[in-house]
Amino acid sequence: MERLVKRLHYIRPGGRCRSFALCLLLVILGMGTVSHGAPVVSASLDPRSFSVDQAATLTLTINDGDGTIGELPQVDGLDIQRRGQSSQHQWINGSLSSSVSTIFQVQALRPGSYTIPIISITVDGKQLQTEAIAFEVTPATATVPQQGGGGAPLPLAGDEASQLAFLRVSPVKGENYVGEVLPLEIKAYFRRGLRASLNSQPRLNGDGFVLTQPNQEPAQTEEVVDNVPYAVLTWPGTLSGIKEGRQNFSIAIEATLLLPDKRRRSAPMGGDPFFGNDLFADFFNQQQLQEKRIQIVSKDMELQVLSLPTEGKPADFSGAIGKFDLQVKAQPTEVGPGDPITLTMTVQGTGNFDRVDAPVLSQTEGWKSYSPSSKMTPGARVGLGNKVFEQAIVAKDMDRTTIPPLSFSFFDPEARKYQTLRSDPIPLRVNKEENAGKNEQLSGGNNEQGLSNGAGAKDNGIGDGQGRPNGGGASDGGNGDGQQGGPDAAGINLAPLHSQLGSLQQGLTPLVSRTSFQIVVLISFLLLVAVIFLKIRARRLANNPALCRHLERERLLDLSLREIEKSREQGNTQEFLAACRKAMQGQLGFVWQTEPGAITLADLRQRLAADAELIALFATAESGAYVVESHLSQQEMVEYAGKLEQELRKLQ
Amino acid sequence: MKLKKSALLFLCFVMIFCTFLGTCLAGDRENSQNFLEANRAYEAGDLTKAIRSYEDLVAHAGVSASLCYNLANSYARTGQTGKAVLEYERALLLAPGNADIHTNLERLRREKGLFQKEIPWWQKMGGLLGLNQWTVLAAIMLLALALFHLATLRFVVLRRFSSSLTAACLVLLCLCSAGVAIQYRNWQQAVIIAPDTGLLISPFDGAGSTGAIEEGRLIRIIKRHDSYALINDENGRSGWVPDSSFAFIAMIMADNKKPL
Repeated sequence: MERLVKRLHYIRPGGRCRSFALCLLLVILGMGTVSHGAPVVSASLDPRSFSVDQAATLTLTINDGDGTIGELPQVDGLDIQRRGQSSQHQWINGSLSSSVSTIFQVQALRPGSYTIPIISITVDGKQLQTEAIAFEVTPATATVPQQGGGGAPLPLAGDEASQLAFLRVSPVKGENYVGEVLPLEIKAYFRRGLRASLNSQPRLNGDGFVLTQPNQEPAQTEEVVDNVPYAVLTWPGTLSGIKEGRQNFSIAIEATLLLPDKRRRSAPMGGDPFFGNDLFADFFNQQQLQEKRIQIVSKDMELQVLSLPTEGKPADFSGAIGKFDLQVKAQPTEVGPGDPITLTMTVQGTGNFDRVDAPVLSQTEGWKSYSPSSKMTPGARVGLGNKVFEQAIVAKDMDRTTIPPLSFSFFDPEARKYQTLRSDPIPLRVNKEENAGKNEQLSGGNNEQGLSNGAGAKDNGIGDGQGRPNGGGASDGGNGDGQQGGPDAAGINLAPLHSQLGSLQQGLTPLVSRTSFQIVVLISFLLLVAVIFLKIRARRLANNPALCRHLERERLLDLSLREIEKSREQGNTQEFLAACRKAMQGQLGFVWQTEPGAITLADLRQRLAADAELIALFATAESGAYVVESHLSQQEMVEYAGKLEQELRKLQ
Repeated sequence: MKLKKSALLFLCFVMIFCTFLGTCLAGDRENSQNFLEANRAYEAGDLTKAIRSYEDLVAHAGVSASLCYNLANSYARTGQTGKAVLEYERALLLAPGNADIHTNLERLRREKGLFQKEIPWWQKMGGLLGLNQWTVLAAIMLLALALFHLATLRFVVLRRFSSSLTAACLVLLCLCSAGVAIQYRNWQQAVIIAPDTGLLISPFDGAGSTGAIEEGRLIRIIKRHDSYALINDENGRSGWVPDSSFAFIAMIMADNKKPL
């Protein structure tokens, strides 16, 4: 045994490698001797029932044999595409089994019952046959398209790509006016199951119009057109004509389609299917697809763009086209001299709100008005909404009793004429006292005047002709044209300049943010907390006499012990014993509630237990105090003092 | 010998102190001269020069209520309403009770139609004093409370008197703290300084506009995104505006875009 161990130790590293190679050779030779089973071929289809827009997987397997699968028989209405191959080897109990599977994708062009016929495969020189497989193909199911691409892509022929997707624009009426907003809906149809990604938003082809789209994602739905299901993306938008005359336009969108690649890959290793295997791509759901960038264009449309009539055009017309209502509120309606009144003017309806300007006062004389602010709130659908203007006005004249009507003009494309909406005059009270209207302003008093577009309160045709003071007004998104009737900036009557510079500081840092101040506040706060704590403690003591007495006795004892220690250090026995006696008297007097000086040894013997240590200590102290010759060594005094402290602390 | 050394050391200290004091005084004198020069330019109608001089002083020497006020007047006279309101507001932070600043700001707002909504009574009360004044008062109340109770540990004080004084101090402390909170909000406001500022729906170029906000309006910043800020104005309107369109009141130095 020892010799064997020694031999093992003498094996060099190179020798180990040789041993491993020998073992491997034996295994390989052994493999050659294992028996194969008889070759078998089989075919399976999964699933056996699927819809037109889906695909099934056909798997042909050759077990324990080496064979090749040729071209599959053609079946009318079926498209069978080779997808890849996989092989598997198993070695169980010395028996080696192998299988090679070839995978095909089966798609049907129309619903119906199909049968994949018997397939002949040559294995090891023998002709073997699979069984026929019958299956059912159903019409396409109307379900929501899969997001992110989970289904198999549709097989496409070369010229089918152009029919995979198309655009529709609706509704488009035959004519509209320059600047009129025409709501429309753009729908992009993609064959269901098709993998596609959008590269652009819908784009207008044609220079006679402007296409406006809300900044939102398209709605995704599904529609069936001529029994073909489509995934549909819908964008709302508006179209405005900018050039008069007959104009053509179309809408286009760019997309990338992922289409199945029908080209066979050439096997890079001499035709060995292993390296050309597409199984891995299939396994990771990355079937051979090719990207195809396409442009989907709607059919050409034609619109007649009309110019706005010049006849009957109101002076305050700002270009608003559509149907609108006007509401005006004023707040407050009881004011003092110079107090501002806020006019809240709401224009709501359908139309080109970007051209809707603030309504104007029909009478500006005696009023000072400021540039209005605006806020646009879009409605549920494109083109619908309301625009709220707020404008401050000040009555220059104290005799004003009403706020004059406000007017807003627009062109109604349905009626094909201009319309002017006018609010009713709003009653106003100008008090001569300063700030008279403040109370009403606080209480929220207001006066509201509503006007409906169809209520007969409108003024058809030419407006009142007053127009906009200073020829301006606020534009959407802008700050207006400055003041109306106010002095210019340089004309403001300002208080004079300061002549003293004053103390300069670096930046505007509030005191509360400065560290030094924070430290002062923190110290004050901690001081307050400490004082409160001390007061609470003092109050607790005051409310507990027993605790108070205990603390007082502790204090007295400490004083007495300090006195004893002092006399001990001086080495004066008589003083030491006298201090000890005084300490005992003091403590006993405190406990017995009697005069300490009157306590004698007799009292101790009478009130304490006969074997109490304190009696002996007191006797020693009393005798020593009167005997001049008594002398205690330092050691004795330390021991005595120790015992005394112990006994006194035991006293209750 | 030792005495000589001490004397020499003392002399050195005095010289250094005098040099420092002299530099400070010279700096103050130079700032005052520049300030007066800017005032003269303003009076002569050379507002561009006046603004440049005031701005130089702010950049190099710091701010004072008078400096901000004069600069605001210059802006107001050149029609830069937003910047004028901003400087008046800054001046008010430094001198909350100054009548000139209040008057001019009120006049400018009235002229430009920047009417403010009725201020609630509690905000009016908070505006009686500036932030620093409220802060100092609150600190004094706290310190007084602590010192008074410290004294009661040593001296006997009538319990009723102690309770009354404590309650009064606490009430005043609460009021001052409320004043600090109210005024601190004002320090975090900003002013629209760019004309034609649109309120955008989203924080990017080309986003839709929901309306316009006037130059000189006070705003609060709700949140930031890239170079845009979501703001809320005095009338409760909100929207995104570019950073370049507003300036914080309480930030004068280099980085204008960060609140306190």
